[in-house]
Amino acid sequence: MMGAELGSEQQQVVFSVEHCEVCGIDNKRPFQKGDFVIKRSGKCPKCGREMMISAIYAEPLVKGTQ
Amino acid sequence: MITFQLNLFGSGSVYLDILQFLFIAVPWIVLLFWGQRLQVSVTLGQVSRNLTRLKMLRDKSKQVLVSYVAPKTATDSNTTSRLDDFLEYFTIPPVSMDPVGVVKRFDSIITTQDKRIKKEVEDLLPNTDRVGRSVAEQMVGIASALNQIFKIVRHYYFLGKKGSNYYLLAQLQMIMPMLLKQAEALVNAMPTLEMGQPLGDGIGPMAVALLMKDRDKVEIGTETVMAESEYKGRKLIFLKAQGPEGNVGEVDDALIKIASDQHKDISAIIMIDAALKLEGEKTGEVSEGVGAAIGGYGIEKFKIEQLAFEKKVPVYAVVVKESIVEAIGAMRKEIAESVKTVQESVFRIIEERVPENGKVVVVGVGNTLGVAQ
Ligand SMILES: [Zn+2]
Repeated sequence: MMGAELGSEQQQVVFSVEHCEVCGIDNKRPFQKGDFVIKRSGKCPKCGREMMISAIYAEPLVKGTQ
Repeated sequence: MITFQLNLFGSGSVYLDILQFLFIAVPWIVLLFWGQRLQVSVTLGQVSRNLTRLKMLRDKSKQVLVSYVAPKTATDSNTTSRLDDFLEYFTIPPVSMDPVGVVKRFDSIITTQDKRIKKEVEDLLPNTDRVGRSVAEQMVGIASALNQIFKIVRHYYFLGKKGSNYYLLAQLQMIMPMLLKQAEALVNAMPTLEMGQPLGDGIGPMAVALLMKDRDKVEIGTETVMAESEYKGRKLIFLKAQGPEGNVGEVDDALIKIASDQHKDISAIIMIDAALKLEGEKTGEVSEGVGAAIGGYGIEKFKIEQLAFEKKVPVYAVVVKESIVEAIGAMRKEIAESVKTVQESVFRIIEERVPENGKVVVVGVGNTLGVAQ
């Protein structure tokens, strides 16, 4: 009974969100080791400037979407 | 009535009557005299299964810790036994019969404890960077918490078993599901720590980090950073633990330091922290209040309250609701997305409650793993 409840804990995927402070564009990609919030990472697809990781968060793994 | 009962089987036969008597009376007598023992053995079985699971979780946390530390150690020989000793370390809380000054004594004990853990980890991992070491410190914390939980539960289990004490076992049985859930969350948090991902508890530092990122940062006290900024004629002083290492800093001491030398004239303190939600409340909900929003043993809270009282400055709190499981695990999307609402609340409080030309300290409270500044 207890095991079933514990086993139901959903699997999660962690994402890093890169943000361009000029255009306001967000680019969500899977988390890579060494990422942290505020880190400079990736180029903006619109203006080519360096983007910044503005958030790192986990989302439940939904079958079919990943 | 009796005649009716005895004739249940539809026969007047004496044998059937006796059989029926046995069917009804024997279980009744058994339950009457041995009912509690039966209950005890059923409960014992359940608690014992849960205890085995708890032991498994404890062992897993140890295993993760060893596999994280062992490849990085300089002296590879007896890492496991050294870590085992490490998990048995204990801290004796101060006596509170004479409560005057108990917080100061508690503070000194906790500081000693933290220093010892840091020193031990440093000796074990001399060539690892600050982030890696902070992760090891956190892992030691988790493994020793699980070790303690397991040992305490096992103690009560044996006590209950020895004395066939149903009430003791029943209490264990009642808290077991919650304990197991938290233990499971702690073990699940270990890979998150190893990857250096922000925890749910990191929402306070994250909200402040995004506000102070373009300013000059000064290290003010142990693992704590400060930056100054301005907003609509008010001076803002941001404070958070130094990231992206996994630590909570010493924001209380930093706050006292700021208020006693550079900025004696602060007009308000705003604290941002994660707060435990009640069941039914939504994760990531932001709410405002007053008072020192900071967890732990209460030492930091006491010091900040004392400071606010002496300086006669109000302390405002902006908190993000989450469960204990969410706070110790990887930060969830709902929590990360609350940053905007938190910042709006902070700026509204500043506009409404801090006079122009006033100074306000904004403190991001929590573990800053995976969040720089
Ligand atoms: Zn751009």
